[in-house]
Amino acid sequence: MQWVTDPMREFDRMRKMMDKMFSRVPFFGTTEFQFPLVNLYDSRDVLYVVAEVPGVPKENIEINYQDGSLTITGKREFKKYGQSELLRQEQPEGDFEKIIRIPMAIKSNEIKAKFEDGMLTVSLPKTEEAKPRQIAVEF
Amino acid sequence: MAEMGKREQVPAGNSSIEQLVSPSNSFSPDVNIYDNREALIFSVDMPGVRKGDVSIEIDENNVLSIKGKLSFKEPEGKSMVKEFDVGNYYRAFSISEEFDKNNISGKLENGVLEIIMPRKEEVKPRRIQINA
Repeated sequence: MQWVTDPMREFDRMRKMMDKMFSRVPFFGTTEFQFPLVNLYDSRDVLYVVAEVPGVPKENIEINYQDGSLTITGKREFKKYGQSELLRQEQPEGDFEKIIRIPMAIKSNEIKAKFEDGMLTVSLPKTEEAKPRQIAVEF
Repeated sequence: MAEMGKREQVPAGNSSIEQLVSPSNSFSPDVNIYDNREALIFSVDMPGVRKGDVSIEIDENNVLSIKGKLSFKEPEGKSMVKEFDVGNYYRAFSISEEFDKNNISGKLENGVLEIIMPRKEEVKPRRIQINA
């Protein structure tokens, strides 16, 4: 016969299972928005795409632009802390791919990306045609 | 270990982060918690927070509060798509007595804060020799 395990521990294990089932961020793709979360800012000359990529080192991120779509791919890996038990998981984990449709013509050879404190900022300069212009009204 | 209500009042400290970040004006960051027997490890997502702009505090009621002041500035321009809000971070946890409050360490890397909270020496697991 097996010894009865600590009831509190059992209870804790069940709670964790429930947490996992109802977690806000169980897997990629089932959330409202997919990791990484992205904001777009439209200024006169440049379109900015900002993505939150906490815990992803620079070398694990790849950015591509093709046919009017910007794709951010990468991988987020958790650190290992020896023989540790994960008591709570809210951070997303694993491979990710985010495709952002760019709604205007941009100079694809002038795209720049900056990575700082887990924030990725991609600047996409607009072509002259895509920039807003003032139209003189004739009477 | 229970999570505290997000609206819990926090005593104001001296540093500017303490004063600037309060539960009512900040966002709740995603947290992973690990237990490796030696210590509890908190991993807290704080994208946009620079080194030195984080405060980790544990008060006399064993409440661990974690605050991060955002230094990231949104680019100029009209917001076209908004999947995340920009602001400071706040999260608090109630910690059991078995942890050593005086030896908590923190490290910020790639927008993730790692807090290591060791167990007190007397409660750490140890192997007992059995003498036949």
